[in-house]
Amino acid sequence: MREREVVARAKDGDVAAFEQLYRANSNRVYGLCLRLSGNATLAQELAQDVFVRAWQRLSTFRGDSAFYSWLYTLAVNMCYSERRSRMRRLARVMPTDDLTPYEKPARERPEHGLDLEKAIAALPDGARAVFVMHDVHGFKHAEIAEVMGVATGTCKAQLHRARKLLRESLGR
Amino acid sequence: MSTCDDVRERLDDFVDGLLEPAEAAAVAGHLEGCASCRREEQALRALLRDAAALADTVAPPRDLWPAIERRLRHGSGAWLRGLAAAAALLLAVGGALLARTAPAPAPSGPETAVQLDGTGRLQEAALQAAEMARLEAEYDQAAQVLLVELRARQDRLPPQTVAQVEASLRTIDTALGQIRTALAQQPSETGLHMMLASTHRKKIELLRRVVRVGA
Amino acid sequence: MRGTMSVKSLAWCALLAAATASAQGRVDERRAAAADGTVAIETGGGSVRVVGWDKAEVTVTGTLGADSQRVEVRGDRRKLRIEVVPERHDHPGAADLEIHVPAGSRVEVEAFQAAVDVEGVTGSVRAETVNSSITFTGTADDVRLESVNGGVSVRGRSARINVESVNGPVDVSDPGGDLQAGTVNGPLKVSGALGLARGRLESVNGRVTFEGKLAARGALDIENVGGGVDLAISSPADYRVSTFNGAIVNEIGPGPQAVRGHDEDDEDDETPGKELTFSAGSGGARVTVTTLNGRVRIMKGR
Repeated sequence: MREREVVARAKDGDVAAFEQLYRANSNRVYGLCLRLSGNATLAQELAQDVFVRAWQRLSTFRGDSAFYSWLYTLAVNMCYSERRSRMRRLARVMPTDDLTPYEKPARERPEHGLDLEKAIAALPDGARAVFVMHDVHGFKHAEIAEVMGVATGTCKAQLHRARKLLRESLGR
Repeated sequence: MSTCDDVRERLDDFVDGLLEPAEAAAVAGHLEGCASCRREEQALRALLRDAAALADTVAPPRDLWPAIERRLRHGSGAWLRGLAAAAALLLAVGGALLARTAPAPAPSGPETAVQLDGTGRLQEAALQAAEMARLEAEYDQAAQVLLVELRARQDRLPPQTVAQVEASLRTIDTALGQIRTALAQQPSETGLHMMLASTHRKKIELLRRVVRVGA
Repeated sequence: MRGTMSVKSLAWCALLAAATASAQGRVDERRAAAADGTVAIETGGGSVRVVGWDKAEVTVTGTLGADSQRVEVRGDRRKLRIEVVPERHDHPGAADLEIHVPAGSRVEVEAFQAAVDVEGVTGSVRAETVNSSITFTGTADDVRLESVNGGVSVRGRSARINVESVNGPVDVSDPGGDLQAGTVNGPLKVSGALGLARGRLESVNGRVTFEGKLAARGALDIENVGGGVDLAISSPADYRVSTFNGAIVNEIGPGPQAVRGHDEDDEDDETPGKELTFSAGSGGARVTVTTLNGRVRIMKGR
């Protein structure tokens, strides 16, 4: 069955049809969530949330792009906003005079002999998000900036930083 | 005329094809004649090639569909789960007369003015039970936020430490349960309320401590 | 520094690296430091010994463990940061270090599983570990020590002491005016108090022991859910002890009374619970003990 038909059925409330959409896209969504969050436990929670949200918002998918692209933008939005609200919630329950900040910036010193995946996971959150979206998944700066809620210039600066840190970590 | 510094600054945009034609030409020209900048360019391109080649699909460690399907069918989310938990707590505490949980017993203000007949006592009791439940719900919420963080950073801790922390959390939860049981029998004991609050605080402090480490 | 990697900046990086690196795992650093500045230390494993002295200088000596890259010292004389940089970002680096600081410094130590030992600092001391022990000896203004699994031990008449361990023992001897201590499972022992003005001791399951004297109008509050409480206070005090399921044994005064149920007319109302209120000597200081299940024992002070 073509994707368009499956989507149409799912829009009508056919859960079995939605499951097909899930099966076709779950690994890509999970892969994105994993790289953006840097953590498998969170990624599983996020991936679930993405599909539940997709189900809830299915009526807004107009079919002018592949289902996968629409799903993807949803996933990136959710990962990023989830992280923002998680940090806000955390900030409320942590006292401000901590010995070390609860969100320590990653070291800006070369750690040698890491493979690329590990090096990406070790990047500071903002730099990692931009790198994963731009250089792994091919999003454009304008798209990334919109999702992250920052200026395109900030986006480019984060990308520059990520690439520099990665080259240092990998010793290239 | 571009200097090496100029070119290095523009290299990202050049490699991404974002420069105006004139600028791109200037950079390309410099690269032709500068071996060290060319090395930079090649290293950058190699990194980007490797990044693009990374698998963007990863199978989750377990099938997520059953959990997703449950939520689709029953429309429940974390928000609802939280409400259900708070409601259960309210019922468990019951309608007995409770002392206030503030460090010093607060005098009955106009907001808790009640009639002295049987119905009146229950009204006040219900108000105080609600306040008690609200306080506990706040502590539990804070603990939840911290637990999420702990799970997120768990891999940065040795598994033995995680196991010890979880055992300590269980000890505290058991103690909280025991204190609540005692409160149900002796609801007017301020000492028990203070103990409940400080045991909750211990849990929060432990979680904070561990979250700070994993950062 | 800008992000451009020119040949000049590469050379500068190399120089800086050489300045903070140590040959063959040995560490030997020296910096000028204010008499009352902050010295923040961060390490993974091994041991850290911090000693206060009367020089306006911080020195760091010792050896690196195999999983540590180097020791990095950053900052200025008002605030110095000493960090053991691990080889791998996901595995703590160990080092055995001895750090001398101006005695009036504010010392902050974050050590995952390095044993921490601080002495002779009179400013303030703050140390946190997960799996290792912390010891402080001396008289400081403010001492705050926390561990998850390690033991914490404090000796000396510091003005304010706040110590916590989840599973490790807490041991405080000769405390000064203000003491707060807590454990979840570990035993909590306070001894040799001389004129303690304010004390608050809490545990969930550990045994709490207090021996010493309180100030004339001092206050000692002890709360224990499941663990026992042993007191041996040799100064006059007014006691108020209550337990909900435990026992109260009083070797220096009257025994406890059963708590009246909240419905006196109901003979079937079998709330357990015991309460004891009495004064030892002329009274004055206030001692409050509350437990859920733990046994409270009041003994003669030494």
